[in-house]
Amino acid sequence: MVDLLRRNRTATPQTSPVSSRKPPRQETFYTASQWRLIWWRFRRHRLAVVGTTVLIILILMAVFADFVAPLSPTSRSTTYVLGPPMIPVFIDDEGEFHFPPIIYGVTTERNEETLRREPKLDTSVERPLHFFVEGEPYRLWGIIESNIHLFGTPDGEPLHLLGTDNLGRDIFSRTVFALRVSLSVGLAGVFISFVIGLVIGGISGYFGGWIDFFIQRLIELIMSIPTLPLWMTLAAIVPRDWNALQSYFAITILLGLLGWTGLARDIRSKLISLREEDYIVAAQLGGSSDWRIITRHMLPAFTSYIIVAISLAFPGIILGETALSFLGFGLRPPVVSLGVLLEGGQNIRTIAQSLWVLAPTIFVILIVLAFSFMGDGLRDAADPYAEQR
Amino acid sequence: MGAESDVLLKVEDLRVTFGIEKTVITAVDGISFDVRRGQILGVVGESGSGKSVTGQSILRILPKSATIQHGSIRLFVDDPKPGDPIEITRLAPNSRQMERLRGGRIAMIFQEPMASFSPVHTIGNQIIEAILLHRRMSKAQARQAAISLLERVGIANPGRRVDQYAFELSGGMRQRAMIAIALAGQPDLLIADEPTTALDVTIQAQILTLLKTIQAETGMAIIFITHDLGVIAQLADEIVVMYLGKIVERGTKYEIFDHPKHPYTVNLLDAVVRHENRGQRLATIPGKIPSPYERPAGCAFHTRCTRKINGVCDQALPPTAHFSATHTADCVLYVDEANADA
Amino acid sequence: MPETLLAVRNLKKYFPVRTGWLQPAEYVRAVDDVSFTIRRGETLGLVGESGSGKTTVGRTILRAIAPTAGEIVITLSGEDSIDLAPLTRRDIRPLRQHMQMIFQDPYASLSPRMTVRDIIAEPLVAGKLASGDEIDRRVRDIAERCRLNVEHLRRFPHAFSGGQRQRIGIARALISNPSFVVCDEPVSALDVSIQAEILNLLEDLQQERGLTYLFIAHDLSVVEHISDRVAVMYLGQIVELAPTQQIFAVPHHPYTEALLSSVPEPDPHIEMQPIPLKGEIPNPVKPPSGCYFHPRCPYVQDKCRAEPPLLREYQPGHFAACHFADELQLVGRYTPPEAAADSPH
Repeated sequence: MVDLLRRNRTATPQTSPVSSRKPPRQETFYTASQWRLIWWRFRRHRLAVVGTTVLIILILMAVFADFVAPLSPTSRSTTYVLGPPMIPVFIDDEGEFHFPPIIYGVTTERNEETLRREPKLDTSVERPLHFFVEGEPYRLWGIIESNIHLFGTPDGEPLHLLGTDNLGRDIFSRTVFALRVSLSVGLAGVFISFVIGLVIGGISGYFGGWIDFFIQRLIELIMSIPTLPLWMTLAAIVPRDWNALQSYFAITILLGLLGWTGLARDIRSKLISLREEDYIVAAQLGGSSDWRIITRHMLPAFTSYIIVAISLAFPGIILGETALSFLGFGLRPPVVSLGVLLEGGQNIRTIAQSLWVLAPTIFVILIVLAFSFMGDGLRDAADPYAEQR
Repeated sequence: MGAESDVLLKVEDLRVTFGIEKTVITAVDGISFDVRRGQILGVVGESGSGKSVTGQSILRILPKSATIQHGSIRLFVDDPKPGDPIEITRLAPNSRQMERLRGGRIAMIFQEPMASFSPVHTIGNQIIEAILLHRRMSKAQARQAAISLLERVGIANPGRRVDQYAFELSGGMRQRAMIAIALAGQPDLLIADEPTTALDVTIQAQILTLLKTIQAETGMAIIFITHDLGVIAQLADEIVVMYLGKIVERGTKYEIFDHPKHPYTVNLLDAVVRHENRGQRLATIPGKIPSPYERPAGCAFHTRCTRKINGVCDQALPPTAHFSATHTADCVLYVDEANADA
Repeated sequence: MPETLLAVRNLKKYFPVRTGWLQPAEYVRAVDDVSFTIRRGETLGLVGESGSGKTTVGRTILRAIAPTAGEIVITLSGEDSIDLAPLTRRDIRPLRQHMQMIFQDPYASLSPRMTVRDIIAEPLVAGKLASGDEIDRRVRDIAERCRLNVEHLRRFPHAFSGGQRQRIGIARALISNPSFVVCDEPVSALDVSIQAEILNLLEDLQQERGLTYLFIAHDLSVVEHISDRVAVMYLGQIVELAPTQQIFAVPHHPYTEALLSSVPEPDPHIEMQPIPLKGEIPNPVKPPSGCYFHPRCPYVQDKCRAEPPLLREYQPGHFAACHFADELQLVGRYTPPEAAADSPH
């Protein structure tokens, strides 16, 4: 018999794969909470991870704007007006390698057509780029006094990574400060939208019936109004004589007040589908109060979706601010936001000759894409239990 | 076994794996079986047995993550060339030939008929399309054929139903309509994967009767995949019992139900709720079905088998024992029968 | 005869369906005047096809859904009878510990975001029935009793198979020591071998704890195995109610007869001979006149179209709602017990 078994074994080789999963790892999986499962799934979404990384960098830049920007948003250069970007290079004209990278010097040159003197880069002058250099003094968040900047040249000469605008202000520094403003408008706007959306969507989904019907029609009505004219009308109501800070708040609240509809709908539909789940019925039959059902059973199932909805609502608010400010209805100088910066690029001549004044656009696109990618990844990861059924 | 010419479909040493995140799961592990013309072959097994994957392999409608590692699936039909079987494993899943085969020579019906209907076309149009794909006739003729097909599968008012959409039909009607589509290509083989599981008993009984009648009329072969031993006892001629991707036993339905040999089959039949064991405890199978990540070595059933022989069952693959021309079981308990055969 | 634990009288549950938002609402009569009693310690099987209203009956009795009309009177041992029907959600909460439910879908019925320990403990915590270490002790006790590995209580449901999940659901239902449990198709999503284990467990627990079950299922074999009495529902009504052996041997309603004839026997020697029913289950918004079953009944007569039959007792404990229950000689699934006893072996 043993003989036969052996023969049989050699005839059909052992094909069953032995699992590579080790018991401890499996136990980690079995005891993994929803957030760990979501994180494990999110991690697999390459684009979302990239988006999140970009977003974190942008947020850090905005938070530490004073430190990251080599100059203050208002400081002007009298010599380097509408100057081209100074892009750090590792290999110079002669093919020599530099580390840290170098920046070329500045010279002026007469434009043969306009007969104006225009700033140009002078490749004969090489300035090394250093990190943590002393420069303009600033107060970080109005508290910490310092004059150390993330990068700069040790010679103390100005450094304009993305060039300068028509007043000689450093576009990169202004963009970094604008990021702070735009992201904070987004944050505050989303927060307002979220609170309104949660309350109205929650009421609509929880009570149902006529209340739900009325709220849904209201949302449809609001959604059917073209956004831009509505924003412009409302923004026009904001008194012109308000100062920059007041109008900043006014615009933020305005964007928040109009952005809740999508969130409210998401929350409502999720609530309704949750209410029908067996495990919610089970909780009710287990003697849980309404309050306990909502907080202990529905909310945990809900939070991940809310995060998704919020991250997808961000770009809308930020684009809204940008559009309004670009058209001159939103934030106004001296506040710098991405929209305010782009407003300066409305001049055809400037665009034709100094394309770099539109550099903030890149950041707008970056923010929007980063949020969308992250939101997509979160949406795919938000229900880590869906696959199992 | 009957004459070779009787064989319609021959599956040999089929192995299908799923790749899920660097881990390879074997869903079907080297199975071989024949389907003879005009036969109803029941494939029975619990979840994870690989019964559905077997059906999907024959139709080449496996999910993207699945691969046919080796083995052959040969279909013996006279077209394109007589006497030259079609090797299904060599065809690309979406090749023209495979598409012609699917719904033509081999048709299929599933548990959830709604998913197989297009929501934007009427039932009639979908049957007509299936007819025109496999038969040469005019559109008007095809419509007539579609109506008579609907009538044949027991749909009342076929002239009206032909212009309705799938969502307008009840579950039982939809399943009938799906059978009509399957019949449109005049198949030699029908693969039915749990087609009655979602239906109520009275409707299930009607569909089973219908399948039997149609099988008798057309002489097509049916592979009927199910977990329901009652359904299989009523419908199948021969039965294949699957466990964890392996065929553990096969035989005629009388052989399987009256003289089960493999301990798994014996246990499974004992666990069925019957009139006779009312008021008694039900027999159970100890342990649980191993996770697909941890397939046991040796006999797949040894972790739950009460008659396991230590050092044998957990080491080597069990030999195949032959009890009759039709009845085999893969179990070391019947090593004498296996020897006699060798 | 043991006392009555639950008496359901003239229970109705109508769901409004709106065809347009200004049209008057129509009603799906999911449960249409249902009355029955369940005795302490027995299992009443409730069978019917989809759309028969059996699940709604179960959920309405436990007041997961508010009834449209009727009484649901529960008599807990040593206490007065309480009609659950008019109670508010708040009033009913203290009673929840005495009546629980086991669900069909072992996946949907467990919150994937809670550990198994928290899921099982929930009725104790929510009802403030225990606190501190006692909760853990009771969770471990009931988990052990339901043959769950207590080492695995820290895990989340995604670590478990369907059968084990169903054990978790049973443990949750029983931790508060209920007297009455509604089992809503508890084994229909499970594999054959697992199904047998769960049925055994339910029977063991019933004996140990003196539980009373309302066992809802569409699988007649399972219902026959576990029930003391069986009620058959069709289109929101009970058409027949009788002790299990009697209803399976001598059905008194043509629908029961048709149902029984459709069960595929797991025995190739017994050929299924289903009685074909005409048409399909009618729309419950507009049920047929007279006897709801008349359009499909093979024995239909004029009286059936005009007059709705009452649920009447034809033999002790054997109720049927058919005008001709006395005259028809209906065939059951097996030889009647008396007849079998008469015939020499």
